[in-house]
Amino acid sequence: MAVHQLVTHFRLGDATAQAAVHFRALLRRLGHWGELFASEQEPGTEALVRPVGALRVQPDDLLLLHHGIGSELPARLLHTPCRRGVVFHNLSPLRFYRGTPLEPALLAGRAQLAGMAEHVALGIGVSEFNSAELRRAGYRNVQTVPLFVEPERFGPDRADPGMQRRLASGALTLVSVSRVVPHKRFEDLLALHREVLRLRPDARLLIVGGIDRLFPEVRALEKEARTLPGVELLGRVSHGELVAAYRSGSVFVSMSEHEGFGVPLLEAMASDLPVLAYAAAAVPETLGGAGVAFDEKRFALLAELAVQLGTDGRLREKILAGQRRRLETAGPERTEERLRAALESIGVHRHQRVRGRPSRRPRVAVIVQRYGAGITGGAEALAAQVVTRLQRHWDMRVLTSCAVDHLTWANALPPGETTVDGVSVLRFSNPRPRPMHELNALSRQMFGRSQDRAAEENWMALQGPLLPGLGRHLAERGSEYDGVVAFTYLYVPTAWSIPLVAERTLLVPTAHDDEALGFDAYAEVFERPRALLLLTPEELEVIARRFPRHARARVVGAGVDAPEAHGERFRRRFDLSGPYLLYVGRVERGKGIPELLDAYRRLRAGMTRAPELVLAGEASIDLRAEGVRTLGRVTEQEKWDGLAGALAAVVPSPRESLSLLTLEAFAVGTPVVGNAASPVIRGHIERSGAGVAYLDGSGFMEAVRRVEEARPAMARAARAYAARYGWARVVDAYREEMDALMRAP
Amino acid sequence: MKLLGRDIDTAALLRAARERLEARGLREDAPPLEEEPEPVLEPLSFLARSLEADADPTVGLPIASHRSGLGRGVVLAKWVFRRACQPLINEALGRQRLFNGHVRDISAQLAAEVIRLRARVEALEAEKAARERTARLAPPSRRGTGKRRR
Repeated sequence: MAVHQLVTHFRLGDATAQAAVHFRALLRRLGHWGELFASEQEPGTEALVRPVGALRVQPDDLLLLHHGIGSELPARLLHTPCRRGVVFHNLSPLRFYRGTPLEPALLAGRAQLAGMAEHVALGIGVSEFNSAELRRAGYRNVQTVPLFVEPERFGPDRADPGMQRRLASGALTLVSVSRVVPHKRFEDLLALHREVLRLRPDARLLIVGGIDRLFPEVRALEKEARTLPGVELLGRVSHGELVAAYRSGSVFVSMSEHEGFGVPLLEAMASDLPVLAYAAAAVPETLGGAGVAFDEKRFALLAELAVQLGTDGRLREKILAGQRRRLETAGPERTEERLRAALESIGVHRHQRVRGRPSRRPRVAVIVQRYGAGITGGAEALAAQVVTRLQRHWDMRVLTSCAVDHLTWANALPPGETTVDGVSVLRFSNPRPRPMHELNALSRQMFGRSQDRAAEENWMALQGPLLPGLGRHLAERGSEYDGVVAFTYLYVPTAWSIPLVAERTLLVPTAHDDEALGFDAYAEVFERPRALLLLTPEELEVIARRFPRHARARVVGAGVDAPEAHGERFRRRFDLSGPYLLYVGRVERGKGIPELLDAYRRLRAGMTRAPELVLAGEASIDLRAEGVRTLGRVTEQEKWDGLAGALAAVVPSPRESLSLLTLEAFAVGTPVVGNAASPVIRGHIERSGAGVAYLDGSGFMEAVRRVEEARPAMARAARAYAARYGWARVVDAYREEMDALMRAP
Repeated sequence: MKLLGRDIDTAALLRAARERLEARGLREDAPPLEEEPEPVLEPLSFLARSLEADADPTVGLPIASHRSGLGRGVVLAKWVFRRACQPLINEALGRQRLFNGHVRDISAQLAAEVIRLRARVEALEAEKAARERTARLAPPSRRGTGKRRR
């Protein structure tokens, strides 16, 4: 069973889009999987939201329509053969829109609201105010599921520094956040500001939100606002800029005469800004007694109040303390509880795990983004090794994609059940290949800047691979597994599956200091599983720094068992006569290869009889340079032979969560010249004494010289260090954690 | 005017603000609110009326533009287009107008029928409920007791 959602117009930053994304996150926590569909959507959101034409349902699915304006979606809802519900965000009052182009859509929306009442099982109001309207419109099963904000996203560290500098001022500053449309009463804000100017001539009014110029009166007001001192129309802003605007204010003001909920009221509270709001519609309910609400618009009096709220420290502190208390009861947990109750009211329950007699061999699902013969990649190789080693102890099924290519996730293998080396593998297809250019462009735009959840989930969806079948499988049949081992926190199969089966999941994050860790949406991936199984102490440091409330973590490492290897065989096979440095892995930018080539050029220039640089692996960049040999993909035995015969293994990647190459080189007694920018590589080298870390070109030359001088001693140290990484210990650790998980209530 | 807020003494806050206002020699009257309840629309009647209003595709929607400066030019261009091309629009959409008319008529017919049937069902249900109520209130039947028969 799935819980899908329909949105009329999906635009990042809009309250309805945010609500749909928030609901989906909560649905996952409640064990329900579902997708988002829209009739219109902002370009760039195609991975997160699918066109309504792509909607396919099964009879016991639930389809929720977010309703707030007339559209063609109610007609579609009524004729979709599954269970149906409406999430009502309210409709703007007609009195403000008579004779405007919006009037027909508002009227139609109201008629559609009543028209759906008899045909849906569930009416959800996002406030009691909206629920009352649903009841008036004839809905029988009405549940209130309030919207929420995530307060940590509005902390001082989330403000855009540029905007904060631009808005910095000692003047009294009123802040208003909403679209500029007639019922928000832009004119009343200006009237209040005029009165405030009489008391504080340097006062400012920051108006954040898109201006809907379709309405002539809005255009006239915009013109008027531009002539009034201290008014700044900021328009639509990014999340970081929004936080900067809130945090640059003295008082948040709402003059709106209709709010179905009023998310900015909570956002202002989360930004430590006292709220002064007109008590219209759902506003008093959303304030929940916090802030200050008023019932009449007496502007001179309100100006006096606004100045006092903005300047009286003691009064302000009392209000802020009350607002913080309000936020504590208005968080995602309350909404999750209400959503659970709403779903249960129509018999939609989490798929319950049937606990029979504990089986001697645990049934374990392994989630990983790619799996199968010939698939390279650190996390994928680790997952394959873990599966192979634990096959004797667990009944395992690998849940994965049909992809072979790690860049596009294109479906190359057939979907469905198959067997790989005696292990059952269930593959799910990816409806949308990963557009790397688009993802890289979006990453450049988003990394290092604070975001809202919808933007982060949009990035995650673009990252992929999207496996809708996996979500449905876990929601419907996840209870059949005693435990789940999920690899790689970064990708959708793990990130969106964990909330569905969190209490039975061991996460192997393979995390390093990646920019994506900055996204709050990943918090639940680290906080909700039963335990984290980590590769190195450095990985634990990174996770603990970013998500201090992470689940219990244990550094289990990974095993390396080297076969017999002969360097001479490798030399003969590839016609190598002198000493050489070897890199084995994906030959691409992200692995630090261009920087390695630069450093190697300097080495050639500064060192007589410099060793050759041998690169083995699939290459996606141009590697032509003097002394550089490229071998393409090599066999497993060739890799070990190559490592055994190398002067040193080179590990240029700046970001590693384990660096299997380092451990494999150590296992055959070969020192490592590694990138010091990676704490993991640095840690291995420092702890083992079996290599040298470098930072730049001159450091690289020095590192190679030192390895040449001390190779025999380093080789001994390498073997001693690698002996700690035996598979037997790792397998024991996985089994202990699975046993503990199965014993847990 | 009233203030709401449980974390502070709102009465004192309002009193102090009023005193400061009076000290400035100002009084303030609130503008009357134009409240009107939002209607609950009966969807079938509403949609039938909307179909009627929008059945003729040769009649344009009100001309508007969301642009501020350029907007006037856009509005003028739309108006000129309509004036100049109305005969062509009529020609191109003639059959569509007829089709829309049929859709309107059949929808109105069906909507009227549904409304009539709904009312009939409601009346029958009310009648049934009344009958059941009457049956419950009526004294129990004495037939079937052996004593009376004798």
